[in-house]
Amino acid sequence: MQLSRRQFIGSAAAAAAGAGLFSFEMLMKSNPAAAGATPDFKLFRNVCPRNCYDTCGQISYVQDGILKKVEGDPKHGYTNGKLCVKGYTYTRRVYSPDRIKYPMKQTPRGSGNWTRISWDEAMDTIAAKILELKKRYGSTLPICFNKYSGNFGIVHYGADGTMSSIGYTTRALGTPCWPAGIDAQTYDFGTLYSNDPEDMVNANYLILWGQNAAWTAIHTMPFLNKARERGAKLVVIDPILTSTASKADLYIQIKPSTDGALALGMARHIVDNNWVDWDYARANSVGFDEWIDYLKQNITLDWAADKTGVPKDIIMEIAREYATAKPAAMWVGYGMQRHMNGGQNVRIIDALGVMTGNVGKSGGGVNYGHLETWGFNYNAMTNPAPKDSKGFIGPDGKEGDRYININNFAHDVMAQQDPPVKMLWLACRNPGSQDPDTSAIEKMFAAMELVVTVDSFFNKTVQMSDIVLPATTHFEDWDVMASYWHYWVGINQRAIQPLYESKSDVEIAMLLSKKMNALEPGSCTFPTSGTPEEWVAKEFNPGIYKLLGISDWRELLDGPRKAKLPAASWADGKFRTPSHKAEIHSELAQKNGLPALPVWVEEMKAPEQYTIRFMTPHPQHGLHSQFQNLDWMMAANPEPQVEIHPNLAAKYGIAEGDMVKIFNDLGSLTLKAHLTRATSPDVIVAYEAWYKDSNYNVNYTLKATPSDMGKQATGNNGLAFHDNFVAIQKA
Amino acid sequence: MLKQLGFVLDANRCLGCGACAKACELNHHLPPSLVWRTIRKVEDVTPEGIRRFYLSTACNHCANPECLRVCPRGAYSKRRNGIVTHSPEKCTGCKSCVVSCPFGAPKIHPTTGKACKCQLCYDRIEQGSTPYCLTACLTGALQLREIHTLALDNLTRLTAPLPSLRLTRPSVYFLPPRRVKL
Repeated sequence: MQLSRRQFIGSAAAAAAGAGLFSFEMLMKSNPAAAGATPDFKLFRNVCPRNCYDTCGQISYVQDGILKKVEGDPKHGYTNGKLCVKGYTYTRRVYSPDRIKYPMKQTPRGSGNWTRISWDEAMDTIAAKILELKKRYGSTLPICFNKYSGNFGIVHYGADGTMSSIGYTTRALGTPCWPAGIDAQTYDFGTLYSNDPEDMVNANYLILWGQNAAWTAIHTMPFLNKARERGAKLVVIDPILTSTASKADLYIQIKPSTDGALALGMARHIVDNNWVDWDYARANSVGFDEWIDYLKQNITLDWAADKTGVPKDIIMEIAREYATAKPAAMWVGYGMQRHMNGGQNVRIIDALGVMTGNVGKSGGGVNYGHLETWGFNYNAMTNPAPKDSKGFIGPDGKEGDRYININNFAHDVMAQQDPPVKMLWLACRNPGSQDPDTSAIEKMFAAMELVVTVDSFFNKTVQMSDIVLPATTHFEDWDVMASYWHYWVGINQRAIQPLYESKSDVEIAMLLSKKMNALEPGSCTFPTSGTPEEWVAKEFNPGIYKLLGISDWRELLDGPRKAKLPAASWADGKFRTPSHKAEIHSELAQKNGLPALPVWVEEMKAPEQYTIRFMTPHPQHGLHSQFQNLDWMMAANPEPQVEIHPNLAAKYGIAEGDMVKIFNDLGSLTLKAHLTRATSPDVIVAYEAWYKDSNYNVNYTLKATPSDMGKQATGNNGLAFHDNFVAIQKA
Repeated sequence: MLKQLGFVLDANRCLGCGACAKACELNHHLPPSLVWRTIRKVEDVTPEGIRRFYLSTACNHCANPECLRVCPRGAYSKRRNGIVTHSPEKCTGCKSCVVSCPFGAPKIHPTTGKACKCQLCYDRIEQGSTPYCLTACLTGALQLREIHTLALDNLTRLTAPLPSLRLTRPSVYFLPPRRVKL
């Protein structure tokens, strides 16, 4: 957008008539890439690969081979040329003096005595250990691999491929993030498949259920605002008055883990007033009338109000508004399913969507996430095991990898016998910071013979490793990224050469393969050649091309592409369940030992000695253990705090700024108190993060308590992060 | 009447994300210790409820700028569109403006030792573009308006604790945040 001075003055005159000088519309279409481009900058397309809803399109500005700044990509229709503050901070990440520059070894482990080693020495040590363990135990099962969301680029699945190519190994299986909700939607609809988030502009009513978009999916906020400009009401249901909640038309402070009870109360009121979309529900679901009978026999508004702490008149108000607004959209956040009854609560909310006919509608949906755009080849991940590899005989009698639970990693690693786990390989993952029961993680790491971590910073996991291999940032490598929220897919170019001696996961795999085959020919099947571009090219297939409307992956260099999907998921009514309908009554859930119907399942109660719930949601200045350690973030948010309601603080004689010990039978941490009414008197809040030069970690008191669902679709149940009960005292 | 451009912040849209401040820092190449735009988090609790919001603030480009009045070297000027600019070539770094601005907008640049502040990207505006902070704002919370044409009934002026501060007449308005009942 370029305005001449004359046009500019003209529009200033128009402002007198009430129109903005710079309207929101104009801003959305402005092109920062064009505005900031000067001849000596080279521009590249990147995609932020973090575990985030937004997966932003980025433009990197490179001068003399140096990344000078990062802006949003205006051709990305969901992120619209805007970045969050984390995105702007990337130059500080790439050029951080704290970056791991070379392969290094620590002797002894945990001592902080790091010495630089060559890639050859690193590979030699690792390859020799793998071969020695293989010889000692007759298989590569003593080698355990844990990778998750540090970088969601498709080529990064080459880390998994590294392990496949050396034989059958022990693998951390599952996801800590969102499995209970995934299973809930798998039982109900066949899979998770949310509406296009850009379609939320068409909603007449919006319920954000345990979702703090202002911090964790900031690019959805403009779409929510557009709906609100049309008159849509925004309701936020959350135990914490989040930044998003403070913007809402109605904020409902619910007792944690009782979301299902609120949805059931709403459903009962909808039945009583006959606001049910009987035609839609009966035609598109199975077991609907059975559930209505359950509601009539078991649920009352008084019970729901008592259970949730939400006044009866508010339940009645949102029930009426949600059922009659048509279309009304719900967005189910991942926080609300991190409970022992979390999946069941999502199932109840799904049923609420079906009963009001809001599923399958533009402007509607029970939106949770999707994987429709993730149909890549995963070429880097799929390598055959070397000949004569010995594997683990699974329950189905097939030989293969030995899977352990990612959500009880410390325990499961230690529990393995015949053969035991002796070596860890970690990539895109920081269990030292993110896993439950940090003390157990520390003990488990200490019991290993070799720990290898691929990372960019000396975080807690690296501190507990023997060898660290320096990882490239996404500006230093080719990749392709999809989102689990919006429908866009973008290519990630190599904007700058890899810094220092850093390498991508695929390059590391190629090096290891060379070394292993030199030591023992045939011991590793990973290819030993291929340029980064070739590796990206191998991830595409005709299905992806068709979905994106392209015929060659290089077309993505012109800008990210949006998948050609209907705006509303399930608009065709073809659910992917066994019955091809929405299964209010799910035989599969019943077979897995869960209730067949979306009925109430009691929440976890606080134990007698530990009556305070300790919630550890996602922070504003970081993503899990990334970003917060960078200088700009440390300046913006220098130290962690625990948020305590003034009434609770008064009970313990705690004043603003006092140090507070948070503890239970598992462990403890001590934090500075911040008194706020944003939380309730029985819930304290601290945001998960890894601060530079700090041992702050919210997971010392967290038990590896599984959530109710996740096994069906992701292999293991989730983790009840928010069923974390503690006591406090003034330190 | 003279023109007066100024910022309007819709506190119901501002998410406190800091993109505006960061875009300002990045594009004006400010050293790490220097910021022209800051984000403040405000929590205001009354019996009627709680207001939790963010204020993104920079130079207010006052109608009667105190910096301009006190500067002994005439380094400050007010442009025809109301933007208050500072010329480093005239500045001696005497800090008169730094101590007299009621809002703490001018700051000493650690490298040059001279004052500096938000110039409202006047050069970009004159080319028909928008200030970096507005370009970065995700929600349209931060807006640039011709202040004299604003209907003021829904807006709050930046209030200052001392009556004398009102005399500078800051060209910044806020759409007040809603109160959440608890």
